[in-house]
Amino acid sequence: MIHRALLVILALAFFTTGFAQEVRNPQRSSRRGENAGYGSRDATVLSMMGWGIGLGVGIATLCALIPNNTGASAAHTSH
Amino acid sequence: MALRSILFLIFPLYLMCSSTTPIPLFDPPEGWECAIADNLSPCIQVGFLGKGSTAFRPSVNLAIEEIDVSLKEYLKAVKEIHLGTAGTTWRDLGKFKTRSGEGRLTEIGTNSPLGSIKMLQMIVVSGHTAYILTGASIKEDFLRFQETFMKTFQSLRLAGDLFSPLPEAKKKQFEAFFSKLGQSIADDRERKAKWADLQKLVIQEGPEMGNYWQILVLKSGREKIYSDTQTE
Repeated sequence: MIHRALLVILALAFFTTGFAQEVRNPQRSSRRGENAGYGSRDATVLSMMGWGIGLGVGIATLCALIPNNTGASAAHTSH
Repeated sequence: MALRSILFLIFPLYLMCSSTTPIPLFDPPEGWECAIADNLSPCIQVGFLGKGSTAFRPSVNLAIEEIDVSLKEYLKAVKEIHLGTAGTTWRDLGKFKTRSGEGRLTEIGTNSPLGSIKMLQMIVVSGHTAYILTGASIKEDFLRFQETFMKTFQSLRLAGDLFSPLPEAKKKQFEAFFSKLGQSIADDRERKAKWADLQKLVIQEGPEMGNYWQILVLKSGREKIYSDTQTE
């Protein structure tokens, strides 16, 4: 009986874990420290190109920032 | 006996699945714009842009990397990477305290067609993940943004899941909403309705969590809503 209860608890814990964790997972890079290199490279590129979008105009803009492969269009503003 | 065998099989499996990577959260500088996700490298989680005195806009981004070494060893590798790039300088500025624990602050100098660039990079290692926040500005603007970068770096925190930083009542509200998102969706109309409901919920219940958190929740929710259409 105790075993059965344990099994139920474990099964429940198993299926509820990882809830809302669908954020880009860390990737092991081909060379250690590479992603820190990408961090500085992307910072330079972003700063030079200035591809940003204002967040003060509400949720519609926020949603446009989400990579969209389901049909709706993504907003791009260059500065 | 059979039950005991099943328990032995399930428990390690459960432990493996439950050891998920924490979610890094930070407060971007107020009023900065969010970088268009399409223009970021895959390891970059998010980027923000401010306004500088020149065409070179100050920026902050967050990268993560799965590692199997200590912060000290990782830092050595990072130094090699940066110094391997021609015209780049790298300096270790020492320990740095964040809300997620102690990290290391470094300074990178490089050149661009728009002038000399100065960057601050802060690295925190937790478990098998390195969290890397990088702030960049043109050299002339650096003193103006140095404090802003430091404040952003200090705000780095690791959450067990997206909803754990919320007050209990709101946490339950979001969890209930997300558990329903996992259920099958009949058609595109229902999908659109759920997406609209999610946006409404994020606007109404999560403004104090900041833009980065809102983006993460919307991304996570959208992936759940459109998961079956993306595999088609």
